[in-house]
Amino acid sequence: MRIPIIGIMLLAAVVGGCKKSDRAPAKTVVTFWQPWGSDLKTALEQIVAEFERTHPDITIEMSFAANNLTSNQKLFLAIAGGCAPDVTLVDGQQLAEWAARGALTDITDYVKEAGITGDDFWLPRWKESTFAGRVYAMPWGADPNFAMLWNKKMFREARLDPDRPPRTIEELDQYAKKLTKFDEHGKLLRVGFIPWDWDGDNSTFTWGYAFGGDFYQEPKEGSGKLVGRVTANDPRIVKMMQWMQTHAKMFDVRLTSAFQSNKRAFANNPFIQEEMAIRLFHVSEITWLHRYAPTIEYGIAPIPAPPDGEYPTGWIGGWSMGIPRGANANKQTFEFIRWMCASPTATVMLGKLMNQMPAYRKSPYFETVKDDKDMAVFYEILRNSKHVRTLMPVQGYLMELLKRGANSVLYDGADAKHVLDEVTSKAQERLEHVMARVEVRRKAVERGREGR
Amino acid sequence: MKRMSGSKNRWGVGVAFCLPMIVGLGGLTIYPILASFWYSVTDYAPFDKTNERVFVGLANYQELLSDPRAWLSLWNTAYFAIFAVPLGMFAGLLLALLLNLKIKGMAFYRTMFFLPSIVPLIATVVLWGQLLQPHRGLLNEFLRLVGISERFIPLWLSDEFWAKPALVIMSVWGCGGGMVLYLAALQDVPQELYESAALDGASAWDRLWHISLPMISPVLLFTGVMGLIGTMQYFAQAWVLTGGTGSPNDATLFYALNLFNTAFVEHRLGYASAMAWLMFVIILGATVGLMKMTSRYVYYHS
Repeated sequence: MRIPIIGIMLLAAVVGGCKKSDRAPAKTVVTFWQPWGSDLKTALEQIVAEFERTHPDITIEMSFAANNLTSNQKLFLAIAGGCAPDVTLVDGQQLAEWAARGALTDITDYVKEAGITGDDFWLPRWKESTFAGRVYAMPWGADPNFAMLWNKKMFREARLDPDRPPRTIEELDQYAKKLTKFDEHGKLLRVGFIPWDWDGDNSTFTWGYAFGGDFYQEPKEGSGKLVGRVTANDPRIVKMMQWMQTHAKMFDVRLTSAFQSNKRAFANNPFIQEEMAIRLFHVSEITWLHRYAPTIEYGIAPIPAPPDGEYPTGWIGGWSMGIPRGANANKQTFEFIRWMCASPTATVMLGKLMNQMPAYRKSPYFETVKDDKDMAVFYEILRNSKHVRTLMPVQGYLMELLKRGANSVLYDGADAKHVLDEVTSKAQERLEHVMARVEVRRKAVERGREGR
Repeated sequence: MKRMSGSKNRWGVGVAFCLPMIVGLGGLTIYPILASFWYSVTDYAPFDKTNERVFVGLANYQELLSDPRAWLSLWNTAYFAIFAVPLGMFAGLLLALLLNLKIKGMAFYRTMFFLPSIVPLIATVVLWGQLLQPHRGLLNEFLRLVGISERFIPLWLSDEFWAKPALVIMSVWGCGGGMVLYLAALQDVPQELYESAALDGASAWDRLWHISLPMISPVLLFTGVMGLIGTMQYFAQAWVLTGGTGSPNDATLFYALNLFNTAFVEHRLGYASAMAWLMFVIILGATVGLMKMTSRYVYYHS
C-alpha cells in the first residue's frame, strides 16, 4: 500500500505544481505577465504601484514572460497547463490568432457594462482588439510606425538642404545615393538609407502601405464569413518590393546589412554611431537617441511616399491587455485592465514614463504632445494612419513568409511578383486551414450548449 | 514465511527509493518520446481545446520529404557538423599534445586553454558577435592590419557564404572540453611503450602515430560521436546571434532552429514532432555508421 501513496503524492506534486494556494487572501490578487526588463519594467512597476494605491483592495503580482511577437512560450504552456495568469499583454497583431485559437477570454460583456466603446480608442487599435465582432482585449498603446529621422550634419556634407527631408521615393533614392560614402579602399563608411532596416516583415508592411498597397481584405461585415482574402501580391506591394530590390543591387545588400549587425543593442545602432544618414524610428526609440547620442542634430518627418501612394501614413502597432483562457475573469481583473487602458492617469503615465502613445484617444496625454517636436510628428502619423498589420489568425505566419520572401528578393534577386504570389497563396491556404479548425471548435461548443 | 515477507518488504523499500527515478524517467523521458511520436502523425496546434489533435497518418512525414526548408536546414546542419566536429577535435588534440609536454608553468597554460569552454554560452555568443562585427570587429580589424584588401574582408554573419564558417570558428574556440579528455587519455598511456619505441629508433612522429593515437582512440571516438550529436542539435548559438531568424537569407537556419520555429512560431506541433523524429533517425544512423566505420581503428586496451 505504501508505494501507491508515495506515487500519488509525487504525481500530485507534479500535476498540482502550478495550482494557486487555496488560502483566502485578504486582498484580491491579480497576476499579470509582461514582456520587459530594465527601464520599461521599472516604468510599468510605477504605473502598477499607482493602481494599487488607488485600489487598496487589489494587489498586482507582476511576472516576466518573454514575447518576441511571434511566440510567447511561457504563456502558451501556462494556458495549456490550466494555470494561466489573470492578465497578459498581447501584441495587436497576435490577437486574432490567440482569439481564434481560444487562448483569450471574450470580454465583450465587461466592456459594455463599463460603458466603453470603440470610439474611446484610436480606431486601428480598437479593430486590433476585436475578432469576429467580439472584444478579446483592451488596446493599451498605439505606436505610430514609423517616423523618419535624418542627420542634418550629413545632409550638409552631401550638399543637401538639412531642413528639407525627401518627400517622394524618387527623392529618397537620390538622397540615399548622395549620402552613401566609401573610403579609398572601398570600405563602406556611411550608408544613406536601408529600406529593409526593420527586417523583411515590418519593412514590407511599412513601405507596402506607403506605396498604397493592402495585405488583406477582411470578410464583409454581416456576411457571416470569417475567412478573408490575403492580398500580399497587390501590384503596389510588388512595385514596392521591386524598389527594395534596386536598392539591394545598388549598394550590395550584404555590405549594407553588415551595418545593421549588432543592432539589437541600441547604442550600437548605425544612426547613433553616425554611420547612417536616414533611418525610420519607433516612437519609444526617441528617448534612446537622446540618451546615447544627445549631440546628433536631426530632423524628423513622416516617411516619404510615391505620388500615387499615401502621405503621411504608417501603420499603428501596440500592445493590448487581455485575460487568457482559464484565468479568473472577474470584476477586479477587468478593473485593472480598464484602469490601465482607459483611465487618464494610467495613459498619461504610459506616455510620460514608457514613451509610448496611449491607444486611449481621449487621454490628456495628447494635449501635451504639441509642445514636443518629435512627438508632434508621431501624433500626426497616428491621426492619419488607418492601417494595422493584418487582422487574421495567421498574421504571425504571414510575417514569417514576408521575411523569407524579402530575403529571396534581396539576396537571391528573385522575381518580386513571383515571390509575393507564393507568399499570398501559402498564407491563404494556412488561413483557411486554421479557420476550418476554428469552425469545428465553434460547432462543438454550440452543441455542448444545446446539450445542456 | 518470515523470510519471504522480509524480502518482499525490502523489494517495496527498494522500489520506493527508485520511484523518483522511475517517475522521472517515465514521466519526463519515455512519455514525452511516445507522445511526440503520436503528435507526429497528427495535425496539432496548441490551444485548440476541442478536436485538439487530428490524426493525419503519415502526411507530416510526406510533407517533410518534399519541404525545401527542411532540406536546406539539414544541409546547413550537415555543413556545420562536417567542419566543426573534425576541426574541434583536431584543435583539441593539438593543444592536448602540446600541454602534455613537460615544461614549466604547465598548469597555467592548461587552465588558460580550458577557460573558453567554461564561459557561459550566451556570453560566448555575445562576445563573438562583437568580434565578428564586419566593420569594427577585432577579427576584421586584424585582417585589415595584415593587409587583406577590403574586397576580400569577410562580412561574416552578414554574408551567406561566411556565416557558417564564422560559427565554425566560434565553436573551435570552445575546444577545451575535448582537450581535457585527450590530455587525461594521453597521460594514461604507459611510458614504457614510448621508451621501448625510442630504443628501437622510432621518431616523435612514429610514436604519435603508432602509440599515442591508437591508445587514445576510444576517447577520440567518444568525442567524435558526442560532437556529432551536439552539432546535429546546434541551436542556441544561432538563435541568439540571429534572433531566431537564421539570417542572412537562411544561411544559419539549422535543423533544430527550423524545428523550434515550426513548433512555436508557426504553431505546427505535429509537423515539428515529425521533424524531431527525422532528426532522431538521422542521428541514430550517423552514430551507428560512425561506430561501424571506425571499429577497425579503435583500440580498447583490454
